[in-house]
Amino acid sequence: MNTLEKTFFKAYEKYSDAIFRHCYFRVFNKEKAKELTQETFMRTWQYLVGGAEVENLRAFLYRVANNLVIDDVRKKKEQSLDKMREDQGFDPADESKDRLLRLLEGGEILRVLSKLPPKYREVVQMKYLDDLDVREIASALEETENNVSVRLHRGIQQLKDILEYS
Amino acid sequence: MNDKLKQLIKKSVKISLDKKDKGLMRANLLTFIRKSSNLEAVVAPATGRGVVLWFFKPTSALAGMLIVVILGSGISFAAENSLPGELLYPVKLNFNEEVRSLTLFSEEEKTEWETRRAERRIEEGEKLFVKGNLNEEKRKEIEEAFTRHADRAERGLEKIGEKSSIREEVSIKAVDESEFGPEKIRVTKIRERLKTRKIKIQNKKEEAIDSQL
Repeated sequence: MNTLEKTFFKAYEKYSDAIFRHCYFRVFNKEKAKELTQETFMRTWQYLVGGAEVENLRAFLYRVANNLVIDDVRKKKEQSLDKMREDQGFDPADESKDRLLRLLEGGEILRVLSKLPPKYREVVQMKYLDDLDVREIASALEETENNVSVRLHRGIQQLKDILEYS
Repeated sequence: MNDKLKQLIKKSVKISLDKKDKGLMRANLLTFIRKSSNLEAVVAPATGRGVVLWFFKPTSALAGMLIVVILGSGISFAAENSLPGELLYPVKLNFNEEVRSLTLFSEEEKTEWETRRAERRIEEGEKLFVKGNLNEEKRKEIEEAFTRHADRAERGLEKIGEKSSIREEVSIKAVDESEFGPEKIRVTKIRERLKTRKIKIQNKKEEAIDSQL
């Protein structure tokens, strides 16, 4: 195994769980999350082997994972509502969604996070579940650190309100 | 941050890949890396350029086609449309399709993909037949590949517990007498069993949801 491969697999051992968790909390499906995780690492490998320099590999992995999740969510939106029900196992408009989310592993945090707008949810997840710092989150999302800080602050405020009233 | 939130976060960080999946993914990545470097060694001298591969899937999971994009040359699309006997056909079969298999984890998705691969062999044979290029050698190549994929799909069905049912036998009403008739019937039977399986899973999900509500 050459140096690049060793670095790559070291990153895999270190970050694959976190990337999986990150994908899982976005797509709510373990099998899909596994596929997205693997694809994240495959694409990252291709980028590295092309000779590109990556300053922060962890942030880069999150950026790739985010883009893959966005593509996946977009594909699902393009399908009919019936097809979405078939894939996800529940109707997003159904009032029993809360109860259904509880059935999933980590359901309680999913239920709470799902009430946050996506732009707050993703930064809160990355900071508190994935333990990234603001600089890394900004790099992963291609945003300014200031924007990330503001979103984090607002996201946490909203989360506290959700927990207080749930 | 309040205690309730801290507790929830503590629980959620326990969600991770299980040991088996982590090991399997690692092995898949290694296979992918080895295959990619072999492909680059073959393609790069011909194109004289660096090779960057990206993978994206079309919206239809049933189609499940993996499209390999190689910068500047368009070889990817040629490989996907290639037929037995053509230069890039081995790329389609042994790289594009194999790597697609690596991206699938569940037994059902793998079975679905192998069924699709079997269908692709039939489609290739039919295209060659229409062009008048289906000789004995190519027919044999297609049949061998088809048998491999159909066998894998049927083993997959056994693993997910989907045995033959009377319903699928009754649904095949007419024997297809085209060039690849018996192969088409075999694929149709596999598809029927996959469909039955999906319906059973959906029914079970609905029962579980009903019992919780």
